[in-house]
Amino acid sequence: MIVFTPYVLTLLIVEGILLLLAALALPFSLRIGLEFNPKATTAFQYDLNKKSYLVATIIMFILLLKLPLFFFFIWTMDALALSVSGAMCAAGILSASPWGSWMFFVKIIALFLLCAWVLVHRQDLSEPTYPFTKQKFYSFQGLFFLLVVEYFLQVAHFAAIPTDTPVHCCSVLFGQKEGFSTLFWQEDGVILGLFYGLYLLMGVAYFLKHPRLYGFTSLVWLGVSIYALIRFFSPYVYELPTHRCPFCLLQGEYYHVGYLMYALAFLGALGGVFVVFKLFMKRLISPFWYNLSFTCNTLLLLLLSTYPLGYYVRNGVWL
Amino acid sequence: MKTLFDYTLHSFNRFGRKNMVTGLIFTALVWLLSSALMITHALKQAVLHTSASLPHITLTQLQGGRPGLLSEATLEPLWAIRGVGMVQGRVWGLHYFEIDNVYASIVGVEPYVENYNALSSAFAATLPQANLPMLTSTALLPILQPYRSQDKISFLRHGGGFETLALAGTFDAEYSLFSNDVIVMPVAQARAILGIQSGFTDAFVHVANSDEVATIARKIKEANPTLRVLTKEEMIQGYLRLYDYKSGWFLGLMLICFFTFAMLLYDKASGLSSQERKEIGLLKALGWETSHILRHKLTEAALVSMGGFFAGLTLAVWYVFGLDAPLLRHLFTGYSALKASFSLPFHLDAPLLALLFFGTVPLYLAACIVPAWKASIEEAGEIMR
Amino acid sequence: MESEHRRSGGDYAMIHLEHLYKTFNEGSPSAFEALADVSLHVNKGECVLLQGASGSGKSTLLGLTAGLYQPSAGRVILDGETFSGLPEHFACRLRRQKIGILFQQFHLVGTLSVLQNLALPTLPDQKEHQQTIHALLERFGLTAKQHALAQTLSGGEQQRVALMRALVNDPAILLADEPSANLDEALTQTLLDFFETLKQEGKTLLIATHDPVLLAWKGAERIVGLEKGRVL
Repeated sequence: MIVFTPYVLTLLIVEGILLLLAALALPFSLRIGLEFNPKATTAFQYDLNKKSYLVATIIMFILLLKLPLFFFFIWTMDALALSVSGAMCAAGILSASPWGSWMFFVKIIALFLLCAWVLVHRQDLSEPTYPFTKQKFYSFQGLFFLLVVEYFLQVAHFAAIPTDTPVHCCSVLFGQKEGFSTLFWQEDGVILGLFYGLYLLMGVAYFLKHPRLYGFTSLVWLGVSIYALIRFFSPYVYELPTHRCPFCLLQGEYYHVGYLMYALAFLGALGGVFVVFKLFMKRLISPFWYNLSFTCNTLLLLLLSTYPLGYYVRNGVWL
Repeated sequence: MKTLFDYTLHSFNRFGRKNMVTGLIFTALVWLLSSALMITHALKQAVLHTSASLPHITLTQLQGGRPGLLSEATLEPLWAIRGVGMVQGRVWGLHYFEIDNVYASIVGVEPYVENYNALSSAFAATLPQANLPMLTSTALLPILQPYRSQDKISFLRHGGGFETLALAGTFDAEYSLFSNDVIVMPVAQARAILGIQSGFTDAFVHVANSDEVATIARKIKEANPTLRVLTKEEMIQGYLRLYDYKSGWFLGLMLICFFTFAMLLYDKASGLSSQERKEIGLLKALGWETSHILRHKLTEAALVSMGGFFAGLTLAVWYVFGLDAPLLRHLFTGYSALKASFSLPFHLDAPLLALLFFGTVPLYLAACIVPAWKASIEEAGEIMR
Repeated sequence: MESEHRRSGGDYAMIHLEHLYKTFNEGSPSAFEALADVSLHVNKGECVLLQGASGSGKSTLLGLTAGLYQPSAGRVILDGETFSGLPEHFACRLRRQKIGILFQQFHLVGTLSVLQNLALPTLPDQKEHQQTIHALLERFGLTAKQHALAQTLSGGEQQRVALMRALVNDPAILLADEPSANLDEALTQTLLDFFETLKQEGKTLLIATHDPVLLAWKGAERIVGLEKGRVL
């Protein structure tokens, strides 16, 4: 069974350890969330304060491991592609069960929320009144639930991957359906219009340092840029009009450019998330988050654009 | 001493003994796990590398559920299946060398007939000119020595008598796992030695369009259900799954060891010596915060675990690729006194190193979190009393 | 806030202790009240001696002043800032910046060198302190022994290292708990000379002692008596 292969087993065990630690932190975080009072100096409050260190350390440990673990997760799926018939890359593995896409989506959300939690945590500790302690520990209940869902989706997905029937590969999953006309949002013009147009709007929000507009546009741009990457830009990377795949970009034959693209997309969106959270906390938003986000998004736009432009310059035609 | 990190390093010298014991045990566990996974990883790489030379489809005849001989008549109708490029029977088998108690594979080749790998093809091209030549791997040479007279080697023929062949050369298999026990010779001599006068041990099918392999395999199976049809993809996956299965079980068993170790570590880490406890109280009195003590203890754990990881990994690389993993590799390749030895190909990549890292270090660190926290919440007030 | 903590003469109260209570093991059968309703203020540049027998609460009072534990009731205000009740991060930072503590047993880390012992209070802030440390070593005449392990030093040398460590962050306040307990007369006099110099530099001193030599020292502005946790 796929679950007992070394990569999957290791992934599930490490995720399991993190979940166990989160479970250990859960009752303390609930207590702190409900009863913490930074102004009181009773022994009980003092004890809660001590426990807050344990919970915060556990959550930071989880985040610190989850970030590299995400890469390991991608490599696991890539490694499995060799053993499962039909799958040429991680895309095939992801689609091999009904849980795959949900698992991936929840993983990304969990990463963003963990990063946001650390931002709130650092802001909280920087002020003598500890203004966000109750909320941040109380919100951990939601985070924990998300981590549980993520874990069970992973187990369900890997357990459901068939070893005897072939799965789809990316060209089937992301390819154009023969004989069907393209849908509105599959038109190149629409995709590029959204991609570049939204970027311009984001640029305006950046220069105005408008947190609501910037946060909104950068998060929507994450979705639009990934969509544009899969549908429009990736064929130019592969130089094959029918090859549309978000995972083959990570392979060595394309110089692992996918890692750079996704890292830029993640950091770009993360900056936007942080701007939004700082807004919710009603705190001063450092220009650093705007700069990080917009710089990464700009680099991503430039990187993606070089592929079709380079193809046109070399070949004189578009794909 | 300018930073907290410097303080942590100095603490190793002063409170190091406890860490040394846990560090050594951790190194041993990392070594064991790394060795096992490196062996299976190397075996998988060998499979993938040689897969280039595997035929699209391999056919064997089943008789009563056991492999039998394929007849020409069985193979003839397969040519008619659309998409089949070529069907070719092969003659090969195992030959027992009594003196060394070892089996070797004898492979018969014919000139002017397509062989499925470059080695056999190159050898077959020399057949018309040479006089009963044979090729063997360098690993088999010592075993053939008792049967050798100058450059002629005699094989016991099935049914009595001897076949004598001239040693035309040796090959150093790049991935010795699959070819190190092979002797290549003209097919007539192979038939005589193996006792296969007619028919074939198995057959390979070459398909014109490699995308259609699965379809052709299905058609062959429908045409003749008594044949065992194995595609190249299935063969590769079979090997990969076998090694994954074996290493998965090993990993599972190792985990029990690691969890036991984690409990031991938790226990040891929780027990602060009175000297250490006093020192933490003093540091707090001097203005260190709980977070500083936590950072110090977790840095300590990180250094021990990372040090143990790199030490274990280095030892494993030396053990597996330098010493060829004596004893342990038999777990994965199957212990057999009858097979000639082979060396494991060197292959390490980032995903494997990540696998080894995630399989070991996070558990160590996780076991240290609560003890580190308990140490950090030591009261400073005791120091005044 | 400032006017509350000034005496009629217009001096600034560096240490202001307001109705402090401290009960250890609160809520358990072994609960014990170490301090009850103690109020005290020490002006900038003053030296106040806390006199009392063993168990009178002197060390507890010093501990509360240093923020090593929280009072059961009352407030500790240092240099105009309410210290008690501050979250740990801020309290520790304040302690590092404003308070130097000289312990009765010195509490040096014997297996670290003199230099390393002096660096300990500076590590959390990770600021450059090398010049200050070397200046202190010069001033207290221990440059030659900077690399010697603390456990190899004589009693007087250890006392000097302990004092240097208390001063390495240039604190405004020095708290000393029975500083002459392990010293002979000559060393005690040296210590008093150091205290005089510190006073001239504007530092505020709060010293717990029952040593008659210290209690007779003219450099101390006041002596506050403690008995069974209460001010006499």
